[in-house]
Amino acid sequence: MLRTKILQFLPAVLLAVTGLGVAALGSSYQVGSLTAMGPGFMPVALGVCLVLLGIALFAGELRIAPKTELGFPLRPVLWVGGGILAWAMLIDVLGFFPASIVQLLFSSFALPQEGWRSVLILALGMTLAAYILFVTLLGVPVPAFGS
Amino acid sequence: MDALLNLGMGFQHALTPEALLICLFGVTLGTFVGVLPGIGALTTISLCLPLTFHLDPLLGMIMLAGIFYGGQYGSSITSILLNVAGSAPSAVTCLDGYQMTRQGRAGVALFVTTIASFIGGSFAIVLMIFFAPVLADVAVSFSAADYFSIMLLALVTASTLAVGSPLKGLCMVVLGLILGLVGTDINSGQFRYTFGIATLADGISLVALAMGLFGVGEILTNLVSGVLPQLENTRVTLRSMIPSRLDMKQFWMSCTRGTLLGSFVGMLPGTGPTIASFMAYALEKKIAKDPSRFGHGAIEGVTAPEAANNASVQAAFIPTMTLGIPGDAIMAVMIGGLLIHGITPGPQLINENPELFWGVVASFWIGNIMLLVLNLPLIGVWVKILSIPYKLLFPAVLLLISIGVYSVNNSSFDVLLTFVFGMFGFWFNRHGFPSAPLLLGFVLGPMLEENFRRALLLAEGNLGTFIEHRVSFAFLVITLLVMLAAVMTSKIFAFGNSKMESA
Amino acid sequence: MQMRTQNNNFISQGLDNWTRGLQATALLLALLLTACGGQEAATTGTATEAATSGSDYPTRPIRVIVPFGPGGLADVTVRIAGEELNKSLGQPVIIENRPGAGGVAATSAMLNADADGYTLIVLTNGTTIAETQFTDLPYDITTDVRPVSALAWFDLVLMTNPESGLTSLQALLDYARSNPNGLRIATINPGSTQQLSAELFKSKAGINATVISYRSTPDVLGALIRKEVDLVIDAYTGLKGAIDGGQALPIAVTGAVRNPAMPDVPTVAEAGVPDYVVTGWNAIYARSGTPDDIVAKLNKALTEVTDLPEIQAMFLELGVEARASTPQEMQERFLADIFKWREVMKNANLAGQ
Repeated sequence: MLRTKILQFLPAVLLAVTGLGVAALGSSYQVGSLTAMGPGFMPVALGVCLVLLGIALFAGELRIAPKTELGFPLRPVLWVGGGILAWAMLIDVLGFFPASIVQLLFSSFALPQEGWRSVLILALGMTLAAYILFVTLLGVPVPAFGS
Repeated sequence: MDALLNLGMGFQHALTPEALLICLFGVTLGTFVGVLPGIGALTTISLCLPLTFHLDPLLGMIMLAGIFYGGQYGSSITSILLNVAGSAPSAVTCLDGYQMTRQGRAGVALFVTTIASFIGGSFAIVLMIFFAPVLADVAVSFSAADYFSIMLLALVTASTLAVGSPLKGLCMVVLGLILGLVGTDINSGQFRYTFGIATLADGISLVALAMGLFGVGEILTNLVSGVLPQLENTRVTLRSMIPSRLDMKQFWMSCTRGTLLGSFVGMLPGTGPTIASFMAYALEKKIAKDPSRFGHGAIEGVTAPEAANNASVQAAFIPTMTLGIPGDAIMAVMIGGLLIHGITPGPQLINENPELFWGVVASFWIGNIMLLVLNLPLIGVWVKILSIPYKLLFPAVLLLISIGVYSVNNSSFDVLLTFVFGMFGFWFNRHGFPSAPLLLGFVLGPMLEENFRRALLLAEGNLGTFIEHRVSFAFLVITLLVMLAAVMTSKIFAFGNSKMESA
Repeated sequence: MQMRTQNNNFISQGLDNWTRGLQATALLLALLLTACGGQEAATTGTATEAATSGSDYPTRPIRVIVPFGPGGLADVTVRIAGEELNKSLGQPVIIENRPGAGGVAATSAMLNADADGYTLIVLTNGTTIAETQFTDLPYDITTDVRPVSALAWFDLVLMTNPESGLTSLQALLDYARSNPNGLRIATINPGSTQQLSAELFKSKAGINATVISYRSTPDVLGALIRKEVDLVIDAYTGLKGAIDGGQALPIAVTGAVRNPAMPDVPTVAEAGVPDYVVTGWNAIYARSGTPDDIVAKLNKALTEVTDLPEIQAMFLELGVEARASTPQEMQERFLADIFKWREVMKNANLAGQ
């Protein structure tokens, strides 16, 4: 019950806190006035806006009965996110093939797969196809292996 | 009549076998690359630019232009079939296009997209043939104050893009505006929210943001919902593509509006197709009798943005070719393609290189017809993508997103951003926060601030400048009316109705 | 270039349509194959061991990183020179664009490669500004790279709207002094050579002026056309069309000598603002630690290339001068420019961050 409540109000709180942070950081730039804006004017104005919107959202949620818990689907998020993260980390270090194969293997696990063979074939085939398309034909400058 | 004679000469240059072949090559490459998520027209053109250094300037321009509008068209296919934005401008097509696919109307959606794109593009070409110099003069006469007011109207309509809570939509607009602040402030040179990361000095990459929200985020939503996009019947007959009579009625009107809007936005230097397609969608929703249909497979939600998208892409050539003032980043790269041949676009281009100017114009039309001929039969093939089991398809799409985002700036940091925005977009979507307003806020925010501050700098701090400029004044009035209408319909009337019902 | 002449030839020969179609196909295929071939060679190249001695250099393709997107002045000049270098060195020269962030992405990519002369970078006068503008760069540009040679030199042009009546620098200065609000000068983004040149102009001429920043050269041109500003300071290349078309009137150039593309236009110094000189440049750099004989070999090749009449002519068309330099000259120039722009930024209150 408490968990549901927290989840219900979390977006509103998060937005308000973000707004606060944006405004606080923004005020470190020169703010100026409406007719002679410094680089800090818009950041502060928008930050304050977001705080107000966050409060309005919070008030709105108070009037709504808490929805049944959405639950957090850990498996797809972890594997899909992990896959992209891995690609971003590996591409500059190990090169195109390792990064791409790792990402394809990772994201495949987001759904139940029937067998590792089709997954492996997909990973290798897709990587090769993508390499030919992007690197060989379109000339994206990434090494196949290594940095 | 002069224009027609010149156009005739243009066709002579554009109908040579090598011109036709290179045009076909351009639109085909553009379409296929456009279908790949993330890698949009700008990336493809940048990557292909070196090829044109070895070509005759006219052929080079025809190829790049072909890639450009081919890519614009291709990216809508991905949006409609997979709910993954092929590029930033077609992100808005996901909203209703994908819903049509889920209703088994993918064939119809692709069909109307093809036709709407053709109409939008053709109209802008006609504008270019007859009115290019006049229109370019008008477009360039818009001052900073005018830009501000136009962008303000766009922003106000943007908050209505959302399905569901207007408050949540507004939150996303503001969040988009804030994300748009990141980078170097154009007026003062101050770095904002860069946190010492040099790459952020140029701002957040639009492609990374769009792919995170409308690529990774949507794929996650699909995976979690358990409703995987799958086509039960993989046979797409010609009949299944033909829109119903009701569809056609909605089609023509929305297509016309989208075309006009797109042509206008496209002509303004610095705007680009993302603003055009998002505004067209917002406009349709605003004037629809039943706005609640949007987001649930409304055909106007597909045709208007697609017509606007293609019209703006063609109209962007008007200031580029006649004044040397490129409408957007893609145009700037294409000017680079001419520079290497010692040709600088400008007012004298039509006189000094008439065969180049009119040849390119003629090739636009040829290219658009090729797209039509190429794509109508291909619709069935594209729809077949859906017959690939989703659990094999989505890892491939995710990989393409990574590479596509990377290739824009050759930056792995951008891929990291895609990850962050993907997670963020997914989580917020689950709580009923829409992504589309965020993207538009992000695109408009910097232009809004930049032009507001520049207008006041030019007017020595006099706020009256926004009323003194006629264009600005007109747009401010429209903005005010739109806001009034929104307040009247959503709050007061709703309140009144409920009162009456309870009474 | 070779392919382009072939193309023109077969058009003039007036062959029948069918053969022309076939040849066009061949042309396209050839294009694709060159593109693929070059790329493959580049990737296999990076895998091979670094050459230790310069005697047989180069034995594999040379990569030149450009810190801008394709199509800009730096990119175009390097591509033109790259093709000639390819002929004289016997190895392909591959241009790699890594735009953005004041050249940080490009420089970092270059510093990741070996100091073997197979990965080079194009630095510009903008690099010397970034040195002050970005305070926490992940490298020290003054010691981490070594100059090979200059490639192109260019001045900026001061332009007014021909309808404004400000047809000479003197008229402009008089106007600025008589107008209580001073002059409005449009340039591209803060931290650009253009913007700092405007600030420098303001202080050297001793006039009251507001420098207004725009996002791109076309935006700046638009501002001039609709008379939003009185003066534009930008490179000749992007505004050649507007100058020829009579939309922008060049009243002075910022170089030490007149621009050969516009011999009638005086320099700023000649026209009344003494000791105001701004000259932009593009130069090729290698990683520090690259053997001297390799740098010498590259320098010699670049000197020969920039001396070629056709290169001179093509660069002139772009409004730039093709001229090589010794590494020492380049090094002095580099340090002098860092100092110069640091002073300008300090005076104009454009602090580094």
